[in-house]
Amino acid sequence: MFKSVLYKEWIKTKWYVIGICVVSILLHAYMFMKLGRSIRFAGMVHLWDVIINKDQFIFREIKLFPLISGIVLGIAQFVPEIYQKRLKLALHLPLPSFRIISWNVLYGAITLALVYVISIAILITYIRLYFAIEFVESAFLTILPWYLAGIVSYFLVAWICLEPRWNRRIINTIISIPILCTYMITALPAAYSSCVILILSIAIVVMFFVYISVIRFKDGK
Amino acid sequence: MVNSKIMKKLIVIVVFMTTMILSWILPDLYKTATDEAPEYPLSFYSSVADKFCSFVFTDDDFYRTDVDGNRFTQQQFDSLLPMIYTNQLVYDGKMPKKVRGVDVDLQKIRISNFSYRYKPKAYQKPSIKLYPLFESMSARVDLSTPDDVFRISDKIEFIDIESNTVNSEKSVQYNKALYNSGFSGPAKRIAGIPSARKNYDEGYFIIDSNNALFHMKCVNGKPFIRNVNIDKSINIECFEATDYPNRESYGFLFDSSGQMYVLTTEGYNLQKLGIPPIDMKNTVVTVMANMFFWNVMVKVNNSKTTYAIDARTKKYVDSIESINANIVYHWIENIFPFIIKLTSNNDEYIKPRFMTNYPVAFLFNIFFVLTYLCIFRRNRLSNKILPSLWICITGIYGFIACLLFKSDIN
Repeated sequence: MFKSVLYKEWIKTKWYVIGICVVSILLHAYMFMKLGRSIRFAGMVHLWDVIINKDQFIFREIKLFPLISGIVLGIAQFVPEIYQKRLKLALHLPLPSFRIISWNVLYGAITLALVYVISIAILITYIRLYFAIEFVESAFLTILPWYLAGIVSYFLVAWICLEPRWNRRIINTIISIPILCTYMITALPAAYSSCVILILSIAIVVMFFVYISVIRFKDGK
Repeated sequence: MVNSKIMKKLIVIVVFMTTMILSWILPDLYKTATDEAPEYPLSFYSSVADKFCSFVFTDDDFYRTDVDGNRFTQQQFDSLLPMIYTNQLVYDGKMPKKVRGVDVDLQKIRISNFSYRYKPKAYQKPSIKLYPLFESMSARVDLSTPDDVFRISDKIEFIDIESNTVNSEKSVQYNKALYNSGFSGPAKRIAGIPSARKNYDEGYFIIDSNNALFHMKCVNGKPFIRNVNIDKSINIECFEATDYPNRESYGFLFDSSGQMYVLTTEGYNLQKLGIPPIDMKNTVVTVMANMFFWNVMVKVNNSKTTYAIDARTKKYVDSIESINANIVYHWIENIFPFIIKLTSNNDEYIKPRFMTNYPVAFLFNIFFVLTYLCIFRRNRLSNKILPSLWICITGIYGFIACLLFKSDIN
């Protein structure tokens, strides 16, 4: 049954997942080309000057990619469930409803996590080729909140989409926006270094919000 | 039944998170809507009149005065502060030849005037601990950025920027010099000006693991390293390098109590500034120095004290205290029992900072509890106990959160 649910979700979202992967590849290629151009035109010494003296993170273009990809995958996966009334059907399968929903959400979260891990790995490997380990650590701490925002945005979209009532969807959206904002406040390198555990904890807690919508859906609220 | 239990736990989490989010968003929106720029009198110690002269800002105007309450015109004020309005006095042909018995001219004044600002934000921020070491005696007017950066952990390592590899030869050379001077790794703090846009280079000042201060620079391609031999009773917290044209100081040093010193270029002599210790995490210090007096402005929260200290001895001369004249108190602020701020004016980190306002706000909290009980008077008492307690603690935030999720709470 688990494989069937995964297959169903894959059929539904494959073009979106492929699209996210393609955008990720193109974005990385663009950032690396841009860095190469900066090195050719201004040299590594100038780049270091920018990094050390101006506190600039040179891969800022990646900032919105995780957030947007999380929202896109969430919408692609859960909007059809509501509009084509598939959720009702899924919850009537001979399996505990929480398990079905967990599999659905895990599919999306793991897919996103895979794309993000590969994206982070490529970025970090590339950075390590040109820069010292201190910059790699700083870069990782800078992008970590943005990628976590991607996962969180996916969970929040699931929470909003599966909610049966429109007024409550609006409330959920109003609460979701500042939650996501907490991950995107600044692009200053490593600014989140003293609250990594907190932003990880929020991501874990938000994961369970979708069950509220499912219970409300089942209760016919 | 199982669903209902899970739902209750989940709703508790959602209400908690909503409350926390509101305690960040609502005060922030309120501040954005009502915030006013602070207005402090701007005071300088007059080297002519030997007293503080100030610009005092009123609602839509300002006037010039001194500590005795005398009012001055622009021209009179220029003459009282010749070290501040030098250009204007020279332009008007009114610049005195001597001030305090010392011959002065534009060149002399320009060289000895400097301003320095200590901001907690500069001290408390994430940074990449790699530093370029400039050639201090390059024989060129402009400094050029080196093609390597160094790190100091247990040993010093130079990393070639182009190849991203350690320059072993240079690293060994500097390690030898550093440890021969008595350095003990790892470095607690490294202070310098890592930019080529500076007047001259004096390398870096390094606080080692024993809290000793070392001066390291590159002179003619060779390491220059000196133990500054700071008095062991001074527990060094922070050093801020400077590059003022008069070349009289290497920078400012702060000890763990917040006492401020200046490290002079005359035999690394450490001079204590005649101002009280500051809270380094919340205080902005501005030094506006001239040939005769340093005006040290210490700003903390809504008050600013300007100290006049003797430029030669760094001893206290006089001080004047002022309060932000533009504090607008709105009673409605008491509606917030606590505030969460994710950013701060005093550091560059994103993290939650809690500020409480309980004694006054508690009355509002009670009001919100009563309102909640009134709205849901027909609901079962058992369903109202927990929300009421939560509103009692969190006030308006908890009240809004409970209203938003009322259908699941009740």
